[in-house]
Amino acid sequence: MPSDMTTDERASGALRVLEKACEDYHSALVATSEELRSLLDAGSATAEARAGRTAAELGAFAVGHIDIEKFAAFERTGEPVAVTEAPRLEAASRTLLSLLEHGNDLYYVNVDPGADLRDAVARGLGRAGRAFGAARTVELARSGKYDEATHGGWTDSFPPTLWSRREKQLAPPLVVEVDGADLRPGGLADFLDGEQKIVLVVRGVAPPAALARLITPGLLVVQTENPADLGAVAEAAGPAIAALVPADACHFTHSPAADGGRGRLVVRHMPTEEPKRPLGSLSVFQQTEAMRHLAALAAGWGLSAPETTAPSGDGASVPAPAASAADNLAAWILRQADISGMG
Amino acid sequence: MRVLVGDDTAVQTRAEQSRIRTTRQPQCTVEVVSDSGEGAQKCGQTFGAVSAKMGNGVWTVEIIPAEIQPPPRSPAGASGNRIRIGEGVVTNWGDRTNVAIAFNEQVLLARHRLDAIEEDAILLVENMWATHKDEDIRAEWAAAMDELGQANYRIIEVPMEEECLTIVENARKGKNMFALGILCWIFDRDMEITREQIAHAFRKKDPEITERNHELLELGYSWADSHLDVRIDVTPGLSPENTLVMNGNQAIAYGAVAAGMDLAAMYPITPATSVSHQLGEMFYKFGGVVHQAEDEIAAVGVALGASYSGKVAFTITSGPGLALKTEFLGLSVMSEIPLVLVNVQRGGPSTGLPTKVEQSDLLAALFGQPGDAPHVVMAPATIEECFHSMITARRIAETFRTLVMVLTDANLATGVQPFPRPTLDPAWQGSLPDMSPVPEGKAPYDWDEETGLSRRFIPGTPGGMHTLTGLAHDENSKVAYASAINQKSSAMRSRKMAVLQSTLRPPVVHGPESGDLLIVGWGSTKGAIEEAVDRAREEGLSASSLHLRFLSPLEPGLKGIFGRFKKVMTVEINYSDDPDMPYITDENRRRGQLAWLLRAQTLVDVDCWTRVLGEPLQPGAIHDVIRANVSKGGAA
Repeated sequence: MPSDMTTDERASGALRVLEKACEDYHSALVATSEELRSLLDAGSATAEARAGRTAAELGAFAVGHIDIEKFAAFERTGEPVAVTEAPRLEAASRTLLSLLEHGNDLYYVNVDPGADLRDAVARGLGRAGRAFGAARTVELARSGKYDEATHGGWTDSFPPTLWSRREKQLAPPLVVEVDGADLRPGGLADFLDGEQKIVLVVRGVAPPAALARLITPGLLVVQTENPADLGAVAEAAGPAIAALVPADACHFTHSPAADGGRGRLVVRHMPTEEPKRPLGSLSVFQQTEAMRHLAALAAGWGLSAPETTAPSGDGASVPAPAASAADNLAAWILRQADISGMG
Repeated sequence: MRVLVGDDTAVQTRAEQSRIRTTRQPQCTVEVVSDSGEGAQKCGQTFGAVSAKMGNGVWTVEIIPAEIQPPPRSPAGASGNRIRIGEGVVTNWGDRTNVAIAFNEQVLLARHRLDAIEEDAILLVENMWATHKDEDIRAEWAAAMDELGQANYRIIEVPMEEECLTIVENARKGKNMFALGILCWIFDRDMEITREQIAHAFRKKDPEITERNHELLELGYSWADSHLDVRIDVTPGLSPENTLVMNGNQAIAYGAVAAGMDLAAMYPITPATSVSHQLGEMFYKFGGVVHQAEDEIAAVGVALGASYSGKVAFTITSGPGLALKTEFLGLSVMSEIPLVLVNVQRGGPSTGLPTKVEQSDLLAALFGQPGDAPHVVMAPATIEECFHSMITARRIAETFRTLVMVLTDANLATGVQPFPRPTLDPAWQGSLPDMSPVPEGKAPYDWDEETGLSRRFIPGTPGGMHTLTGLAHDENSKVAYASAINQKSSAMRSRKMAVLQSTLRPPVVHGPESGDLLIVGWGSTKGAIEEAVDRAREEGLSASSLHLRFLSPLEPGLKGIFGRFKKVMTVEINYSDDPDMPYITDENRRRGQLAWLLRAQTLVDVDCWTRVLGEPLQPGAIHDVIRANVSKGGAA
């Protein structure tokens, strides 16, 4: 079995949730591939084939009102593809066709234990992004600007760092399976732009608040045990990331679309105890810091959560008094920062 | 007969429910009318959408006052929606209303005085005005009810305010959904679909608002169930599967996206603006830009510039905006930069009737640019065609390097109709722009001597650098100094229209290919004309019709078709002189705009019948015209 096949039912479920984004990308692939094929075939196309293409391009309004064959005779076929361009265009066409042969595995990456999460995501996006590389290759070849040294590898891999703003709006979604011990998502911020959607399916024990560090004003961040929460990612206008984590991790949603402070960050579950053991290369301090970060944000924006015990920096748990969880957390943060005496 | 609700003798008990009479009708026209801002349009739109989703044919028309905020309770301020539903496809708004629900008696009176209501119509009217504390209002109510009572309507008073106050504090914010509930009961609408439609309509509001509206809907339904004794069965006969329900402006927007258009540049103008609202939501998802420019002139300039750079751009406007765009439209023609312009026609001239329908821009669209500026003018006839016309317009604009105007109107723009969901085709997005290096010696206007066609040079194309100019120019885009150059370039631009015309098919005649009378129409009147022709034919009258989609160049074969009929006349929503009016002679008579065009092009004595009432034409009125012009023995 290829390594990039879904092994976790949660990953299959995530792909189903992202089905529409996958279909949108697939449709763009089909359209680009057909457009390129018609360009390559233009020189040798029969009158019948040209008329078929013209009929499609004119659409239903023309039916009964325009004689397609006559109209097609006046369509410019473009300058014939030059001998020197043809190999580039054929390579681009092969790339698009090979991407079309993929099923949903085009949108899935499995991170081997111990491997780097950021590298694996870059590889997955670079693979699907070959479509952009192919389209760019065609444009460059047709305009005589193609340079093998600069553009040569774009049909093999076209990483997100090269994507244009428009390409990022069409970004392929990605579902990533990764061990909890390798869940260091900070580097993924590089890719969260345009309409990029990433879902991490976490295997085994996970750091409690790994995605908290990704919370920024315009990014939808979901960390949850419940696959149903992924719907927000599929519907988000803008970039979004989610992680399916074990039940004992933090569960929260940061939604930029939420109006005002309250409801912007909803923490549904906060572990009662702080981490006690390192996880992979993540120290106890690092895991705890992520929890503190989440707690601080929740306190600042108004926490909507079940009653919890906030983690403390020195490893001791602070019992929750009768006040609201938000008040508790705010008070705790003020104590930690020792700014209570400021006037 | 009048039922006074509140009167014990009229309120039905459960036991009396068995007396509820259900009448089956193949089609029925409903109106919801109120003052502006009371939500009658939302009620009507929702009722129309629900009916379409259940499988009824639907055509809706907005009833909009000329002023944005007219005085309350004034006949001139009637605002709302007319919804014609049918067992099968509905192609127009019909003749008169069978059921009306009004939030005050004055707006109902307005509809009565406009002869918009059928003689035996059922009228449901808010009755709070009868006991209003203001004596003048009570007097107005009494006078209006007296006037309405002269007709044979069945008037049912409804305590809308009283009922709605049990749920909301401000009944003005609730009557529309209460009224929707009543209509749902009368027409046995699927309440689940209705609830979903309400949730969709208020999806951007607080969920509590949807909840309140659901409660009001249920209240109206329940009130009707307890108090009304007539239900109307318009059985849904169409498959609601794979059907889209939208208005013409939405269809234009969807069509633009389907056609791969990148940029819509516009300046807000009624009734075209909502195209850009729809695009604003869609472009975010699919890529593209809505540019709201500082004025109409800038908008067309931006669209033209984007098109020059290789993008697929279009601009949207209505009559006064079309006038302002004139100079840039000439530049599009002269510089042969493809451009699509959508003109949603309204009443004119000047600011005219912003919210009302007319087809008075035809000649301005055809000939409004100074100098000789040949270009394409198309007119979709249905909401479905609004969608598909954008795809065709783009292709023609690019193939012929020219301006394509798409003329719709306020009737299509705001009317809602279901139509089959198009199967999207990537080919609609067109081919990649040709940016291959320009071969040595090729020029930016290297016109084919026979067709006038030439390759489009997009900035950035290697070897394609040239100076763009609106001045008369030669093949190299150099300003014309030799006398023959303007003659040749004018011929080349004109030749393209002839070439396009050579690819058009003769129009199809609705009805027999020959006979006594041929009605010719264009744009949104197709449904009403064909329904009128069908009615006339059922009476044994010899009438046919023909509907044009291409006005420039004109579809071929018209003279031959006209020659097979004893009389040819256009039916249009623009002004023409009545030949019987003072001072009007055959020599000075101003005719319908299409009639004028057809007479010039075919030399056939084409007559016309036109109206500018600020509303769509009624099939019944056209039917009367056919009767007047055709006797059973032949043309009158």
